[in-house]
Amino acid sequence: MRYVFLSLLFFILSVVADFLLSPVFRLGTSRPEFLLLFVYFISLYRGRWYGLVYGFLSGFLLDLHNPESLGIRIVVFTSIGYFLQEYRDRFYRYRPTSLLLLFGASIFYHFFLVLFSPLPFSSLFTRGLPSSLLDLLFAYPVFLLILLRKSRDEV
Amino acid sequence: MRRGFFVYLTLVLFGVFCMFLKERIRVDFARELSSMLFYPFSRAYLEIKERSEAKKKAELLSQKCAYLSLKLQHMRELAAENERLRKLLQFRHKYSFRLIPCEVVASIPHGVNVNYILSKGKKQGVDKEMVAIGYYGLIGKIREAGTHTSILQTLFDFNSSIGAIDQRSRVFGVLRWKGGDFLFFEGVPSEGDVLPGDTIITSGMGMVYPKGIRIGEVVEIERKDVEIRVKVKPFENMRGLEEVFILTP
Repeated sequence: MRYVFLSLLFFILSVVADFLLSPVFRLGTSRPEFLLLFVYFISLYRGRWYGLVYGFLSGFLLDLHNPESLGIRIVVFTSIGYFLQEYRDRFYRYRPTSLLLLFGASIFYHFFLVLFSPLPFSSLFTRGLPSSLLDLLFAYPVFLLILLRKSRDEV
Repeated sequence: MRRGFFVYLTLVLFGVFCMFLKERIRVDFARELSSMLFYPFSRAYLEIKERSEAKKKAELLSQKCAYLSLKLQHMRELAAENERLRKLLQFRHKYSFRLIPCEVVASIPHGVNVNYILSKGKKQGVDKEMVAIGYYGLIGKIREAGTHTSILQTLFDFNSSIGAIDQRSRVFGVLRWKGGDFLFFEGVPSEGDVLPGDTIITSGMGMVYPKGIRIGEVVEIERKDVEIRVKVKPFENMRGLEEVFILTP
């Protein structure tokens, strides 16, 4: 139960960060996607249903904010959440290289956006790629925190 | 695994269904749903925002109110000053004297006499025996003049005596102070035509005060055997002077 509340708290924090903090770190048209980071971490490091439920909720929320492309983010975020939590045992998630998964997920998200929304293909490189790099940049400190916590738990 | 996949498939299908809805329906649906979901939050946010803005506005308005009230006071002062200066201008046209405005710097606690120190002296053209007037009438004369200050002897001084006449009946007399807030118009014979409400002006006979400067108004008359005792209230408030004008030829 504690984890449910904690995850809900982090979800709310991510929503706030995505809507309020993200524009602060904007670089041109690209910006960090805090909700994607949340879905990534909750899927890899929490229980079975977390990725699926929070992936869907995050996507739905973002779609409500962009009603012209309703559905795209639901599909993408739910898929990212589901597949990451489903196959998380196959990755060694406590290695920094696991962050490449996040990079892949972010690229997949932007590719999907380009595919199903009126965005031009070039935006994959002008917006998608820098956003993915920004995601990596913000994910790394969180990853280090998780590592720190794990090492403490082991001691 | 199977249950999870089934749920995943349902959610994704819902997303795909949304994706292929007509744009208008999609937008309407999203708007309806978001307004329903976020209404309490947006309402609370707006409420907080409005309250904080109202508080700021109230603070700003109270500041503005204080500022305007100060400005109003200042304007009133200016209006009063304007009025006084207008009167003075008329006076100046009438007598063609040069006027030196002086501020009252301090009062002199000199027994019961009411005397003041003025902000100007010989350097500024103020000299002994020069006449001081106010906006409404005669105040007194310069008793002593220093380089940058001077001492004003008002009408409320035991040593002061002024030759004066009744403006209406042209009856002569001498104005003296005997304490209090009134002057006494003395030397008027008992048959002299002086009535309450008459204006007393300088006679110009003492060689100090020019003729025709308003001094005060007759308020009370007491008839005696050989002369009458006339009580005069000066037009100027001798006990609360702030600025005076010195007449120079």
